[in-house]
Amino acid sequence: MSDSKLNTLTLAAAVAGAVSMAAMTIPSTASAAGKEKCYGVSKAGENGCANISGTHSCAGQSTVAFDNGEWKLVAEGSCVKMGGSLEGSEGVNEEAAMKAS
Amino acid sequence: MLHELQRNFASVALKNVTAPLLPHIEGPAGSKERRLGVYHANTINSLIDVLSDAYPVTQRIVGERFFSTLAKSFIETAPPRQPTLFRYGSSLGDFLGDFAPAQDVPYLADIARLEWARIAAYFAEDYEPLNPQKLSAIGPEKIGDVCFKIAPSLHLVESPYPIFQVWAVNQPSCNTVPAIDFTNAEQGFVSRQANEVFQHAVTPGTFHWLRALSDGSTLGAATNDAMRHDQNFDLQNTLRQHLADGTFTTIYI
Repeated sequence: MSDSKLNTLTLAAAVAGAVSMAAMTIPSTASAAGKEKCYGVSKAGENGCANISGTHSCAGQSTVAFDNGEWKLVAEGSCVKMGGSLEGSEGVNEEAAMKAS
Repeated sequence: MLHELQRNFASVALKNVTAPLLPHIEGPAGSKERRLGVYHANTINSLIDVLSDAYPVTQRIVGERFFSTLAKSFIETAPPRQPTLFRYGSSLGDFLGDFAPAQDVPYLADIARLEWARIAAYFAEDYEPLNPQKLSAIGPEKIGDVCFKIAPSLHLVESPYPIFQVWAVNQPSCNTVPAIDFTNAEQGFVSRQANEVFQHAVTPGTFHWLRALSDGSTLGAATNDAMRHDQNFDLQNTLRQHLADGTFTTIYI
């Protein structure tokens, strides 16, 4: 129990310290409010069915044409690779993409 | 009747199953299927676009072609259940965890979960951050018993992979790719102040502290929990940081 008493004292001191420091930093959080929205997230606010692809339906169909069954999927876009395991597969993927299109 | 018609049209839009609807369509045979197919293509492509907007980093990691194909599989498994698109796609991370072609990129599912946490934070209800002075009103003997109500925008994310680093280097503004040690697990949080979504990787101690407080633990219990996981856990600095980040809304005992 003496341990928890010590904790109470340290806790109180830490909280008091944090509060006094937080009071000084508050104006900086308020000024952050004017910043731009983050990439990608604001776009997700789109609602309903209005969409660019809705205006050219036939072009749309070709994007859908890849079927999981007939085309072996290989991730190709990464600029972050684990142990180079994806390096070799990019060429294969190009080939598969050519055949498929 | 109307219900059945609507259900049949949904089958066209999502699965391109046209047969049940054909008797209701005018025009020469053969052209009916093709015309209905337009609705299918538009529906699927709209949903792929929605997912690609919601998951820019996931898409960037695997490439556009891979992404649109995995999105199509996801749409087949988990079609929209709500009439709003901005909440569509929340389970993509779980889907990717089981998606065999994505297993070459084992961190992909957690990246998607991180990206969804950003969306959830963005659309979380507005709130007033805790005024730190309210803590001053608590006597020192009671401070360990204080509980915090957590901001609705706060989302905790953890992964056996360095997902915060991977996310950062896949931002359009990032031109250099530093060496990333993929054996590093990372944990952290996503939140929002005003309209700005932000995220930080944190130490295991801070992560356990936040999780305990989110689960309703007292400040004393949460701090003990944090120190069990991290001897160097710094309560004063962590609390100061989270008061500034608006992690809490109210306190209660």
